[in-house]
Order: sequence, then structure tokens, then C-alpha cells
Amino acid sequence: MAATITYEGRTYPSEGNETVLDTLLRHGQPVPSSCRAGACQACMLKAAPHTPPPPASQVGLREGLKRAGYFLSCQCKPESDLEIAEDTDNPWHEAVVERLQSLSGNVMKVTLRPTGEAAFKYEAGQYIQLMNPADGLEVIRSYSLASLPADDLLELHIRNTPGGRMSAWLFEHAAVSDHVSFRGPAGECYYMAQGDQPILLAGTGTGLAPLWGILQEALSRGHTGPIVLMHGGRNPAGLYLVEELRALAAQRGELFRYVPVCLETGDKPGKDIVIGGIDEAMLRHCPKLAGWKVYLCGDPNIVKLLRKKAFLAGAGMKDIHADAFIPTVAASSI
Amino acid sequence: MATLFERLGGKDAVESAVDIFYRKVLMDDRISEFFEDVDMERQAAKQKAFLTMAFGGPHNYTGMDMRTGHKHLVARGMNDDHVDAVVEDIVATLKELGVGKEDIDSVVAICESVRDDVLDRPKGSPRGTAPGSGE
Repeated sequence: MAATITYEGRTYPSEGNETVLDTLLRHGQPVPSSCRAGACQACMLKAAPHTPPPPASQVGLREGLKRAGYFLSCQCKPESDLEIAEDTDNPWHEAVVERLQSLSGNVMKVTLRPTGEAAFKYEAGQYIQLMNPADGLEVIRSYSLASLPADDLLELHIRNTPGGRMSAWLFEHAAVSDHVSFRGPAGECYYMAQGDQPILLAGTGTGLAPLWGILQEALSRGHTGPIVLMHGGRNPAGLYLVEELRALAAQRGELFRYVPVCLETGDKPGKDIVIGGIDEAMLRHCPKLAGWKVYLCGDPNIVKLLRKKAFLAGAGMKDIHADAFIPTVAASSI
Repeated sequence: MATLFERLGGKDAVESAVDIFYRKVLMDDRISEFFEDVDMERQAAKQKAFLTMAFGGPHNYTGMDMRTGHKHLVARGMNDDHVDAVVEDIVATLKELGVGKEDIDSVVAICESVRDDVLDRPKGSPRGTAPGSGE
């Protein structure tokens, strides 16, 4: 059904079964977007109270934003006319770059110092959307937080994505004391286990960021159940924080086990590095996951595979929390 | 008398039932192809809604929802045998949960009452009638 989208006083008729995002972009009205799959929330807009959005387009939003009529424009196929209201409840916060540190050949730790009055509240493992001054609203990207809410600083792990606009800015141009904006938090991947519940953290690449945050949060809250962290990379050079995680495992003994997994041996394999698929490694280390809390982050195909295998190994559907890092779909490709 | 939904323990019990049932269908070679490659969270939500209805709990399902919701599977060849397999897996799930024969029979009756909607053919069609012939 063709609905009319009203945005900033102008009307845009939709065609066929297209989403609000597609309608606006088709008419040349820029709206930020990234994953186009309902995961990153970059395309979030607010609907006016008299034209509430279909609930299916609000999946994943926190309660306060849902009640205020926010929705994901890439997921919204309006059944009737929709008016977009001014974005007043999901403000951008300001921060400055505190530190830029290389963690591996293509992963950088970006530390941000929020400059706002009120402390930014989040749960360890959630994500924020980042905007840089060079590109403004044209380039909004979501990154998981590796820091803890108790810290003053926000920590992100950024991969140098080939052709990536935000990562190019961060790797090539950003400098300490540069200003950035961010908003959020969002995401269901955060520490919520019972204190003695076994936890499995499994991820690939920079999926380690939220898992690292959840791990630190669990330990800081005195979690007593066993924690297993499996980190997958193509080869050992693709891993990072390896020494830190090895040290933590040595220190914590039975409480924390670190399992690095690589598809290839590469140059300098450590003897603790498992060679093979992370899904097989998961089932070897944790054959029975009934009663476990499972967190999966990183490559979307691997997250999907691990989710299914963890479920079949006994983990309850509601105990599996996944954050798939879906790459940006270029606007020119529609 | 309280519904099976209430006696089993409401929403939480349905969630446990979905976990058991969904695992069974994923491992049931007769029907797993219809459940593969689907967003697991979305699929689990649908199963939760269906089992809630089958247990006599509060729901919004209509026959039309069952009909339109399964059309794409009918197009892929879903038939009476597949529906039988799903009902079998539901029964096995209920047995695992310790549900008694009378309650199991009621749930099976509810499943059977939507067979023609799921297979998109006229209500009351004899078993084996071609799916997809519409109402």
C-alpha cells in the first residue's frame, strides 16, 4: 500500500513495498544508514505521535525510545501515512579522542572522553553510534563498547575495514583531542547472568570488544561461575589482547578459560591456539550448554552458526545474546 | 478449570517448551529444511505464539494468519506428512514436559483444527488433498 512519508515539511510518496529509508533515499532526502538490516540503529527516526510506526520496525530499540515513537527506517514498511518528528529524545553526546592505540596490524583501540555534564549510562557490551566532524550525519557507524560503565572513558576496538569511511578517518586522520559525537546505548549483549551461572563468550575479530567488556564486568561483580572466552581469527595475526587474556586465564585458574581459535596457523602460533573452526572448538570445549549464558559477537555468518549450535547444545533461546557486526551497505548500491 | 497454559506455568513454561520443540524440529530431517536459514529469534517468537495458542493461552492468531503465514512453505511442497511430523514433535515435547494424555490430546486437537489453514486448502478437506488450493 502506498503511504506518504512527511519529513521536515516535505511529502514523499512511497512505492510498492519499500521501506521508509528507501523512500526517502529514492527522493534524494539523505538519512543516515549503515547495516540496512535492523541491527546498527543508524537509520533511527522518530514518528510523530499521530502516526505511530508499525511495531515490527521498533524491534531492538530500548523501551523509552519505543514509547517515544522511534523506529528503524530500514525496517519500516508503513501501512498508512507516516510523519517524521524532530529527533528530541535520542540526543547526540560530545566526546574528545583521548587515545589512539594499535592493538594489532589492523585493529586500533580508540579511547574517548565524554565531555557532557551527565555521565553516559550504559551496560558493558552495549554499542554506541559514532559520528565524526569530517563526515557528519552522512557517516554514522555503530561500535561496541569494550569499557566498563564505571570507567570515565569509552573504549572502542576498530577494525581497519577496507573502504571503510569511518575507519579510514580514524586510522588516517583522527588525532588526540579531536571532537566526535556519539549516541546510544543500544544492544542486548550485556552482562545479565546469575552470579554463579557458567558463561560462554565467543566472537570473531573486533567482536572481542563487547566480550572483553562483559568479561571485565562479570569479574568486577564477583562472578563465581566459570567463564570461557573463545576468540576466533583467520590466523594468529588477526587476534589481539592475546597476552592480556592469557595473563587473566593464568591468574584466574578454573574461573576463566581463554581459547584463541584460528583457521590457519600463520607465522607464530602459540601452543594454546586451537586450529580449526570456532564452531567445532565451541562444541569441543562446551559440549553441553544447558544453563549457560551465551554471548556471540562478530561476523554475522559465524554468529548465526554459533547461535544455532549453542542452542542445539542445550542453551536456552533466551540465554543466547548475539551482536552480529553487519557491514555497511553503500548508499549508492540501492 | 485452568487452561494447560496456566497449569504448565504460563509464559515461562512456553519458553521452555519452545526450546525443546525448536531443537526437535531442527534435528528432524523430515521437516528441518522448512526451519533452516530462518532468523532464529523470529522463528522462536512465532513458535511461542503458536504454542501459547495450542496450550489454550492468550493469543491473536486467526485462521487467515496461519494460512498466509505458511503459503511460502506450501509453495515449497509442504504437505500432510510434514504437518504430521510437526505434531509428532509437539507431542514428544509435551511428554518431555510431563504433560498427561488428556492434555496432549487437546493440544493435538487444536493443531489438527488448523491443518487445513496451514496447508491452504478448504476447511474439512480429506487428508491428502492437495495443499495450496485455497479456501
